[in-house]
Amino acid sequence: MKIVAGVDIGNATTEVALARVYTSGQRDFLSSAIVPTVGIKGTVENVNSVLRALEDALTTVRLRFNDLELIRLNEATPVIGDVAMETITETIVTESSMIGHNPSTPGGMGLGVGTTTDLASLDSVKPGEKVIVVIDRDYGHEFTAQAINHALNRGVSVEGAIVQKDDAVLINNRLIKKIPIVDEVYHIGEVPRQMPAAVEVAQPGHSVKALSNPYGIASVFSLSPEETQAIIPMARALIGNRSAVVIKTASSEIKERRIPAGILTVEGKRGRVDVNIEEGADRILEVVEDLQPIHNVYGQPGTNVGGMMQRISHYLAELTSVAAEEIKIKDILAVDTMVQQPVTGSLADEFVSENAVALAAMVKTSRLPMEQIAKKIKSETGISVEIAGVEAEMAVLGALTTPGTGMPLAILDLGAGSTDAAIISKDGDFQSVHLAGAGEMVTMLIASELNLKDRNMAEDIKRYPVAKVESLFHIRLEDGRVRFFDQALSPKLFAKVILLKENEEMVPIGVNEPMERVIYARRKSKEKVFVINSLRALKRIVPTGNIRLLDFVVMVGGSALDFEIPEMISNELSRHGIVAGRGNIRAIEGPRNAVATGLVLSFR
Amino acid sequence: MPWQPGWYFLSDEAVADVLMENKAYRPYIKIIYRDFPGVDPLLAQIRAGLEEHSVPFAFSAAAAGQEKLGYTASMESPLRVGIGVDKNKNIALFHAQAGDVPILAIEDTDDSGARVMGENAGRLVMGLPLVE
Repeated sequence: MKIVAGVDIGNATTEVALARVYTSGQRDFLSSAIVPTVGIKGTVENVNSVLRALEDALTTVRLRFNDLELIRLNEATPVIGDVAMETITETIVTESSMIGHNPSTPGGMGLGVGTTTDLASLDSVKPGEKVIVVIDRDYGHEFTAQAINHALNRGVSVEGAIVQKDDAVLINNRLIKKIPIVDEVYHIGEVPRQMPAAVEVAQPGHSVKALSNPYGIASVFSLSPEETQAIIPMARALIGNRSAVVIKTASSEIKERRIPAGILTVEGKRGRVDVNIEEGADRILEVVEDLQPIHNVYGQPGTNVGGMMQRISHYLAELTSVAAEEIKIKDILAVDTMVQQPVTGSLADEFVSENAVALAAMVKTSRLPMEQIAKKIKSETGISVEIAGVEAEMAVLGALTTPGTGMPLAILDLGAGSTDAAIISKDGDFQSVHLAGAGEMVTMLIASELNLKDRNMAEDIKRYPVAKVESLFHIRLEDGRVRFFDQALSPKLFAKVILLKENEEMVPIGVNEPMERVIYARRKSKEKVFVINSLRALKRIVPTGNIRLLDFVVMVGGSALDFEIPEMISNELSRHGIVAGRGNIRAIEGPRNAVATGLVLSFR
Repeated sequence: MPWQPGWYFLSDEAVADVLMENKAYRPYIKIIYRDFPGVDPLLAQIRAGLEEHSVPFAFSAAAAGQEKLGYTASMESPLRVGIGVDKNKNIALFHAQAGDVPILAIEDTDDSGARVMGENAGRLVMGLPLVE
């Protein structure tokens, strides 16, 4: 009888399965452990986490290192991935011609058109002239209202106002004629004076109609057809706003620049194809499938995508100690997404959604130096170490311990860096495939969709459900149910969208987005990566590429623990006649510990 | 009487008393303040914050020796939200549901602090996140 440990070093976690193995072939599993992996997978630093995990597993059953006779280490899949994103459109508004920050308390209602005029200059305006008054923070609302009323009494047509402070309602309440007022304009100094301008405020719950319509703006300023075409991006940026200001300056330019994102070249066994990034993610995926197996993917030098691919190649070259030119990218996943970008030349820090493309790339390297790691473990513990087993095969063997499974069996290993699939046939033959695009790409997409600077927050939004704090005592959950508390919630959480973390911890997400938008961004990001990749991966390992031949698929890996990803995949696969479910390794571990378990099971 | 925008300017104790009998007509946030030299600008700022958020309000001077100004205000407000201003320029926001522990409190404050308190009282009633 030997006490054997299977050790799986992953990108994010290191797992151990500990068992007594008898000469009869019987295996009694004793315990398991999981710790975060120290250092990049495949480097000697990993030994720290290996030793910690072994210690955890041994201590659980009151054993010590002395008692352990053999360590079986995974032959870590030499697959490394990276992700990057580039915008492919850019909106530049020069000459400060638009205000679209949508303050929460604009004043009045309707559309006002006139010439921009300082409050201080109001007295010199002739009766009958139409003006839009510009008020900086030096003027209080009482004084401002008086001054405007005075001008109105003189016969001046005050048609609207632009205010630096948050005073629009206060001012409008005191006016003898109600006008649309946009406030909280921080950079009021940059509002051009003595220029034609239009101010529009819609009713609460409604959005502007004239200034979000290029023909509306054209009507207001009597634009030519060419000028109207030029202002389309501005109108687009104002869609959905409750308030807006457009100013026609002498030489104002609004450009929607298409950044030449560039050409992606995909080289495969069946040929070489150039894809323009602007053709979209679907086309890129199509080309990648058509040219299987892929030899290399690179971008046109001097373009955005060229720059992206170069950055990825350099990063991967460093990781694997190989020259950058020798890096061959074996798989890419492209995802069309939107990114919130600040509008260049904005007056109130406005943001606009720009199109972007995100790419995940994956390389196969030469065997990772697991021997070094094995040597170090042996020298630190004195225990024999074997490097055994192709990771994918070990994963399948482990997955087979899920109650209800049999051969042939396919697995989906949903990780942080890559999405892998493996299959064992009735006769015990293995096939496996590794694809770019997994947990890390999902986090990146969530961060860009919600304009999050903090990656940790994006990661948390990925992992935890959200809720909205509706009162001091209750929160509204995603499914509409309400949760009541018998103690008042912290004022810091009031009316905010929060994450429901472990141990009842509630954390505000820190960005001003409604709950529905957060849920949408989270689910879409997971779909675009994991659902697409699950289909891609299974198609590659099934003999004829027809996934309907698969009866049963088991999902394992870190991302299989996610609260909604496995269901999304099951849902999609069920439409192809496949039953898919989260694994339950040895009937107790859930989707975890598959490889470590497989390493023990394959020991003879 | 149906509520009209002009009522912002009618907020005083007399109006509040009338409304107390007809609570169904008009909800309001109550502010109880200690009358001292220098209180007027603070009250004007609190009122500006409330008015900008279009929430009705009623001001009431504290009686001599009256304590727990903000808490009392929240208990008397049909909206259950109250603000207290004491002679040391401390301003506190209360929601009757949370008892006599203030939702927000600021000490020895100035005009901008008072304005923010008014805004936060409005936001508390309307279900918007509070601001610093």
